[in-house]
Amino acid sequence: MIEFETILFLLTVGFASLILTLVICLTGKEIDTKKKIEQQIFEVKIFNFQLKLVPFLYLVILLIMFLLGVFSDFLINSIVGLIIALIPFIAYWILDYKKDGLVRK
Amino acid sequence: MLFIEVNNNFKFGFESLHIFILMVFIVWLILLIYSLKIYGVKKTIRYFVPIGIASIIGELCAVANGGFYYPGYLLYFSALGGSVPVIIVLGWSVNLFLFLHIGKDVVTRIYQKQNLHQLFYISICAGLFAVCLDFIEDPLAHHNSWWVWNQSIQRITIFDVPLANYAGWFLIIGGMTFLTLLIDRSRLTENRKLLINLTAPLIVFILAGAYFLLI
Repeated sequence: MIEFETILFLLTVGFASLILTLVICLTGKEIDTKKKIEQQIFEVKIFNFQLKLVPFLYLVILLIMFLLGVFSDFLINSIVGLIIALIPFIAYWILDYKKDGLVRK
Repeated sequence: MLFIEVNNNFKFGFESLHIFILMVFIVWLILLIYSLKIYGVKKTIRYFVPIGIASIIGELCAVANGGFYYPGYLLYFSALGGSVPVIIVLGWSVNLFLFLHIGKDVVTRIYQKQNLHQLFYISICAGLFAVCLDFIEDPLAHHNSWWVWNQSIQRITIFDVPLANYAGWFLIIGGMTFLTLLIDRSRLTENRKLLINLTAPLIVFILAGAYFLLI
């Protein structure tokens, strides 16, 4: 069971943060000109595909997890898990491909 | 007080846990360098530190409450009656960075208007994507005992993982994505954005404290 001191600590941290956040928000001056940093895109070339770094890393994580599952006798659940976990990457890839298609037109 | 403990019985080998630890650390390092190069120091702190602080306290509460525990890691944060491996905290910052970016990429291609609705859609998308990853990560972790769920507590499970865990992933990643992007798009100075991003996630601990007080 969680101790009473821990609960007190949580409440103290929570309320202190609430007060601090309100003070920062209410005393802050808005800036009119927003500096926009142009986002560089790191691309990783595999065969003929161009993949951006973040989705590519996600894919690598999935493949390592899948292999760990296969080598630890967890094949069926790993296949099901991989199929579900691939949804974000596939969604990203399809929309990215469509965008590239629009740019080409 | 927060302490870092070293597990003296830890021996590095090629067991699945060690590969998992190595993978998380390498991915975290790559994303940290990538973020520093693209966004600079302040924004990188905003993307990596608040989720770290929130996850340390959240996980410590869950471990102290007897929900689960983490055996066999090298370094632990130990406080509030629980212990959480340092690598798990790094893992949460990796999750936020990955799903915030993939969610943003996907949603901005469908809904281009930069308004509060877009932030909401990105957060929902990021939260759902996080749950998708959890469908492979948590059952595998349970199978290999990377973290061990308390079996004596009756709960609804999917692939032997409590349903509340998937809900937790959705809420943490969705909530932190919303907060981070909301602060990102505010017109405050960078220093204030950094301060608010560090303090705002901790407000949730009022709810956590009240929850533990009432149960």
